[in-house]
Amino acid sequence: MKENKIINLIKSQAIWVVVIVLVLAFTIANPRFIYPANLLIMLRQVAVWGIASVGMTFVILLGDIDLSTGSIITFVNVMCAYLMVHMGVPMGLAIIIALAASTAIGLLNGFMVSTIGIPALIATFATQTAFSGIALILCNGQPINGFTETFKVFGQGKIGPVPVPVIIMILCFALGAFILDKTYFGRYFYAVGGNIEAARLSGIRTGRVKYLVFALSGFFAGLAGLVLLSRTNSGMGNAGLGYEFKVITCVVLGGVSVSGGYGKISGVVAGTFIIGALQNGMVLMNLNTWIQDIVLGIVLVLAVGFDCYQKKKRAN
Amino acid sequence: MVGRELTETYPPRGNCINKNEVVLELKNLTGNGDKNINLKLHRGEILGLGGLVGAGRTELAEMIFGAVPKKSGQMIYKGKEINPQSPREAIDLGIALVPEDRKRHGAMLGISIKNNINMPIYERDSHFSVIDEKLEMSTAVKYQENMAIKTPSLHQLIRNLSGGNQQKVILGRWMAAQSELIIFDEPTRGIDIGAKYEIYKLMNDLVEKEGKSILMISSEMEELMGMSDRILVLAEGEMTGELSKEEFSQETIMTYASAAAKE
Repeated sequence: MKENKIINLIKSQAIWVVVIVLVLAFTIANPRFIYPANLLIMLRQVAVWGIASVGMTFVILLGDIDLSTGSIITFVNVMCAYLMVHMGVPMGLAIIIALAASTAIGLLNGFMVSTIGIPALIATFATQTAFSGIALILCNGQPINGFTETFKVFGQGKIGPVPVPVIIMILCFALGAFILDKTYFGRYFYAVGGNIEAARLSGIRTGRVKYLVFALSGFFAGLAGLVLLSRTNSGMGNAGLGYEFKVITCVVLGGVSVSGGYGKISGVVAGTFIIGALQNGMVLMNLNTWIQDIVLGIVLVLAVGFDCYQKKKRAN
Repeated sequence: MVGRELTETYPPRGNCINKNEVVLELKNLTGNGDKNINLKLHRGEILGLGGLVGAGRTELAEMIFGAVPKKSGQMIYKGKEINPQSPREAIDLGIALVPEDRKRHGAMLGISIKNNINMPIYERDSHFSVIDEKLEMSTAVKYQENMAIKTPSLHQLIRNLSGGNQQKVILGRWMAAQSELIIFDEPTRGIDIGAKYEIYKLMNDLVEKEGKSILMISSEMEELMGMSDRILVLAEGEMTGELSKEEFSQETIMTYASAAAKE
């Protein structure tokens, strides 16, 4: 019995076991990995994905997917830069407009998925394609530079030794956990993701829930886009290229079930940390980016494979 | 099946029908495969809906519950015409559905008993979207006791309960939502004999003590006759007969149930 309990504990916390093993392995390979300075750099690197992964967590909890995240990041990046540099819009207003726009793109996804009934994969893929085009038109293929010093704080500033983007990421994770655990929206997300018809028949307006989730995904992607803009200090038409897959990997690695209804923010925190550790550790080991991609691909398959295989076993 | 003594298997129920108060009245209700359905359900009454599988009874329930819109005709609930466009609207009016396919439409299997009970009332019991967790728990405890749900913990997933206990959780959910008209679609499907009796007793309590009204769809002839105060029979989406308690007989019900098919 006691052994079973320990095994169950390890099983339920498997993701953190992976984190510990990874940290140990990379530390052995290169002791500099564990230096606080390096860990903070690593966290700063994953902050953009971590922020966006909160919204993506909600979407995947519903059993849907949002492929437009990378494009929203790019679009917000370019749009906010354009507003501030070319139109002289004050920083605060530009940020509000950018976040409103990203939320609106999320609502557009919600409209296509919920009201029209297009599968999320296709609807958000269309948004992704269209908005990466719009972003390129907006910046005319050129980087947009020249922000105020205050704007750089979000991506480059520090509070004590901790980079501001890391703090924003932590706040976003906390907000995500609060929404999931403490508000009725969280209860609805699990219910709709687990069984949409049963959820509808117990009084949940499932259509509205989908709208909300895609809007939130757009909002968090927008926030990630702003942090990225502040960090790179230049608005670029390909800033968030391929980011949706990084974000999806963080979420799925964190144990959020791709078929919906199951998952926690704490897992996504671990998932984000693993992605960061892998990238950072492999750089320290001098592995080139192509090999890094291979490793990330394998890790993604392992994570989803584990989840799906468990389900298959339970079903039999 | 035929000729078995029925009185023993069904708990007795006093006369609690309030003939003066019509809770639900349907006038020529049409839609979702049903045509011109007329019925009156009184407070404290269990009205049985008999018929063959595919006669349009579940479809009727879906319309009343707002899950599928009606095409024409009227639904009058507690004296007012209603036209619910979603289950949410029906639930807010006080209408509930205990669906036939419990695992697909009723219980949310991957979610705890506590959350399953509270699901329809979360918005009511939240402040600025934040759940009142004490109230959530006390609601769950209250209906666990009322429905005698057997479980070691309310945090247990509903998946792990027996069919009968799952059904009680769903009933608890509708009691928590203060439903007044409860539509049971095959109330005891997939439930073992002992638990069936418990469900019947709960149904009796609902009409007798709580003053609720029940519309019960059942394909089990004994259950239909044992529990109903009146029986309406549907065939191919149309009402083919009505039987008062004295007229209950399997032969008559079967004749009505296959009436349309003969034409």
